[in-house]
Amino acid sequence: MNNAPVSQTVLDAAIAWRLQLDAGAATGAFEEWLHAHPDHARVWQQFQVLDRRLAEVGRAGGAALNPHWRFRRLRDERSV
Amino acid sequence: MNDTAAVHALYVDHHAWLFGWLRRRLRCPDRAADLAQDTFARLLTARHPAEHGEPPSLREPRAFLTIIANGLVVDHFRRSALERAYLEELAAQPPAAQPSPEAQALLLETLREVDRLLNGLFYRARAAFLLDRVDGLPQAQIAAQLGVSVRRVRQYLAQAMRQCYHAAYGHLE
Repeated sequence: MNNAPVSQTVLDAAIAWRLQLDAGAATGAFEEWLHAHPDHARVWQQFQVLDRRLAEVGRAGGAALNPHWRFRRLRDERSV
Repeated sequence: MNDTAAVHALYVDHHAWLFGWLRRRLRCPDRAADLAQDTFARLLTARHPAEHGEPPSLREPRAFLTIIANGLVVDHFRRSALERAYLEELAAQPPAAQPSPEAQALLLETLREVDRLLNGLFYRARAAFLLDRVDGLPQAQIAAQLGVSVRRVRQYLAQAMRQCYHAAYGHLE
């Protein structure tokens, strides 16, 4: 796989698509965008690699990486 | 004098001093010895183009060594805080859910890698991203937890994706 970074414009477009898809607002226009340029397909593949990395973290790992979450939970436990 | 000889000379003159400096900060002789070695190892891999004359390490050797060693100390504390947090989280889980020691070690490596990807994000953006990707919480719930609007959560997620992407793949020249 090509690991070279894409331009800021392509990255921003990919992020906007990702947020829209996650919010359940999938449209046919996404497929069009994805196939419109090799960079679009590349950035999407690179996102998937990062997603797999993040999926390996698991709940305990996610909590350990998340100081805010740990702080809130400690505070909630103390107020019980 | 080539770089290796220069580093060797620095080692002879300042290793004991650097070890003492690290031991005071870390309160652990073993770690201090490791990080002192790492500091000199960093010097060997650093580039000192000959045309720029004498490397800075020879002009202000202790100040220079301290800067490198301090970076390693900060990194060390960060890593141990992450490891401690992970072990605490594991301890809170039922025994059946405990991964094997091998799996734990692998996971810690992954955590360090992800920590590196997230490094530089403000804590709310980091929290939003982890709650989204790792815990799979809906954006509205993340917004409620962080006490911000859903629109703000989307901005945090975009920030985090950008940060992760550049940390993993670099910037386009």
